[in-house]
Amino acid sequence: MQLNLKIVFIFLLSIHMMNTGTSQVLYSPYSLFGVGKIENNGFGVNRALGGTGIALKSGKYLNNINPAAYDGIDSLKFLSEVGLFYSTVNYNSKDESLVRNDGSIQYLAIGFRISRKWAMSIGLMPYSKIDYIINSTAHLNGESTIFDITYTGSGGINKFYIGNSFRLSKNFVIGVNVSSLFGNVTLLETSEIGNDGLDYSFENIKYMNGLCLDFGIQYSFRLKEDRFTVGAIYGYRKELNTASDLNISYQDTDLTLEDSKNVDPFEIPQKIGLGFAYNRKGKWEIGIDYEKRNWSNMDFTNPFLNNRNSERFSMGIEIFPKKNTKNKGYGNLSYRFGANYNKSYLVIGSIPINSFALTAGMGVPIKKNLLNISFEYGQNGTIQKGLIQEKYWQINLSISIQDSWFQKKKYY
Amino acid sequence: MKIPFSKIPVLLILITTVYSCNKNDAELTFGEKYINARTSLTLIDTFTVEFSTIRLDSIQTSNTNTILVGHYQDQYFGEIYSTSFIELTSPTVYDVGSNEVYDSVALILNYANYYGDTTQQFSITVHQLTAKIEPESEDTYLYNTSSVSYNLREIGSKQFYPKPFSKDSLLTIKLNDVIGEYLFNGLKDNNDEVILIEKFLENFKGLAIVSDKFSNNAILGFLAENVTMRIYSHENNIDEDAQYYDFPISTITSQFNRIEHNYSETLFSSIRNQKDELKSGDAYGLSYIQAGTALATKVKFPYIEELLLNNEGIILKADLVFVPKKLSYTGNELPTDLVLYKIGKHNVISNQYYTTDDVPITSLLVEDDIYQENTYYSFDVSSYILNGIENHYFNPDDALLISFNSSDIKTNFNKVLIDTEVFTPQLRLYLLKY
Repeated sequence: MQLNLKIVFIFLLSIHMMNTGTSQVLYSPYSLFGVGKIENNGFGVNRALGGTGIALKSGKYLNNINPAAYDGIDSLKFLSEVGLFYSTVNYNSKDESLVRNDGSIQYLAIGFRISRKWAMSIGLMPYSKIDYIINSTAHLNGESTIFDITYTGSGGINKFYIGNSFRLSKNFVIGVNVSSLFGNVTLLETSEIGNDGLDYSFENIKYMNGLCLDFGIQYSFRLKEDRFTVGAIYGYRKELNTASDLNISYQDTDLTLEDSKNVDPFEIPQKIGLGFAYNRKGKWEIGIDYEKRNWSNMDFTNPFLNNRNSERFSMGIEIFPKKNTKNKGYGNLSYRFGANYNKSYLVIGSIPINSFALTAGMGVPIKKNLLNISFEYGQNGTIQKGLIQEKYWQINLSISIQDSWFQKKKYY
Repeated sequence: MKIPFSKIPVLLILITTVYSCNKNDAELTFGEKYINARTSLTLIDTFTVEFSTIRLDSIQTSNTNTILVGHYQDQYFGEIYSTSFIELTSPTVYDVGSNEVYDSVALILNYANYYGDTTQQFSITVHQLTAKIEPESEDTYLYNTSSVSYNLREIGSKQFYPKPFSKDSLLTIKLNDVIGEYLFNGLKDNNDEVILIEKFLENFKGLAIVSDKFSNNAILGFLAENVTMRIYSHENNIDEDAQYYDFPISTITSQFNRIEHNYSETLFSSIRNQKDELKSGDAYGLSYIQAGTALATKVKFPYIEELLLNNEGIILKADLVFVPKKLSYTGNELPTDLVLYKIGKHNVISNQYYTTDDVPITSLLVEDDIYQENTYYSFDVSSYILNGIENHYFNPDDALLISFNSSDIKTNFNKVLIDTEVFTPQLRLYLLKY
């Protein structure tokens, strides 16, 4: 019964997520470039730690940054986790500013243990998002006329993964995520010429899907009461199957064409990451991540986009003030702080687009469950050369629900 | 308190759904210059367009409800001479008192339109027909070329200054009293020759309304349905109380106009029949359109099939643009509603009108009232071009014909003189490249 409810619930969530993935307005102007804006990885607790997680283990929560981390899931427990966010973004250009609020489900995932050595996680989350509306003008070539045109982008790529971790030895865990990336983006160009018969709308819908694998390892060892963990992740470059359709409307005509000449396949870049974590007597744990994705050898058709390899530096610390006490309920709080610096793959003209964020949050155990709340302040981009700086406050909320339904079976 | 945790996420979804709806739609003008647009719009106006003048062989002029009478000489379009033929019928309701005395008889015409110079004195004569108005065998219409013989001795005439500006204004032409008196007495005596329609028509076959060929320089239009021959009478002892009896037009289907067009002095004098054409290049760059004389301009796009090789994009729209000859018109004399016909081999009209969704395509006239410099006509010929592209074939015999709609052709002499030298006619193709 419990399981059925859970399946229904996950199904509903999935639908909700798919929908919200495309309905947001002006998610980021930077999503105009390439495959759109790459989502921050990491679940709720990772977010609270500045996005850190390569060398951290799942526990009462899920960590998806390193598939080897699923090994931390308590045995005989079923973890289900949902993440939500609400953000207030302040967009600033040299001359203008704009505030936007946004909120949605970020991800949902479940994790459980198959055996003592084998843990699994399944989840759904956005990989990248495109969402922009740009009002511009264009020339009518051959005539000295300028007309209004609106460029709209929407859609994105979702990621559904099934992850496995295998404990090879007491200290060494390997993991693999098998991910299905799928989605579509719609790029629309709509003219407003006003001259009867000249107006057109040009819609380019790109559909993409593909399977990709990424791998992770974690190696832990104890020195007295302290635990050291090193982790590494690797994902290879993957070209997604991409199809492109054109819908062109003008006068009374609606044409649907296969876009034969402009199908640049979407690509998932090779990624490599290293992490280190140090757990001090179970009282606090600090983690450091470095991750690099090889975007630079990819070919984007936008001539303004000079892509480079993206790099992420992050660190986070989690403090467990009353760790190991028998105090159940609200008393067993943990506090998390983090920071990250991201060099995104975007270099627009000559301007690199970088971002940073500072995070603070806490984990609130409620019975066997864990409510994670964190606050994030960040900046992205710059106001140079007509670009935009985004400053945002974001609340991330995730709830990890622990059920003992495997255990229940033993109640016979 | 036991919180049902499986319900919490449902609650959270509801909350975020509410949040998600709380979105503002303001836009920031970022990214404009970084857009890598897929589309561009290009105007191509380099396709060759050939204009030539043709003349349609005959025009139906019966059943048009328009009497055209007059003579007009134009340095470009030649000499037009129009004579109108009508058939009258005897009154059906009449009651002539025994005291009544004949006064006079007149033909009463109701102005409809005019063409030319109406400030000059106009001379008109009315003649009795010597033959019945009848279409050629197996035809129901009469044409600009049809004719019926009439007695050269007029039964009425008038010199006057036309006042066509009000549709209510009437032209009254006094007719011969001998005829008037004969008809009056016929009514009074119930003479079968007058009151029985068949017998009346045997004696009174109709009227020709004829313009003076030398002095007139205008063509007047009258409403055919209102034409009547009116006999005035009065009671013998009461002077003021006049009566009248109308011999109205029998039917507008038998009324027609003979239009003689002498264009031997014009540039298009070589045109003999509908197959002939005069390229604008051989006529000092001119091409002609006139309604009542059936002059029309044929438009060909000789290299249009090259469009079929285009794979750069989609043609959104095609406009045909041309200009009237400067100073060939005055004021707002230019007609606004030219139409297109599709014609085939030997200039045979294959489509009544060129249409989009069965709506005739009419011209757009943009007028430069002050200098006439930027006055131009344009036609949306998208459907012609797009159909050709869709069928991947342009029949080399096909062409477009710029003319007037059929009621204009039958009832007036509106004209456009096209100048293809000062401004070469353009086929403007708007190409969406992507």
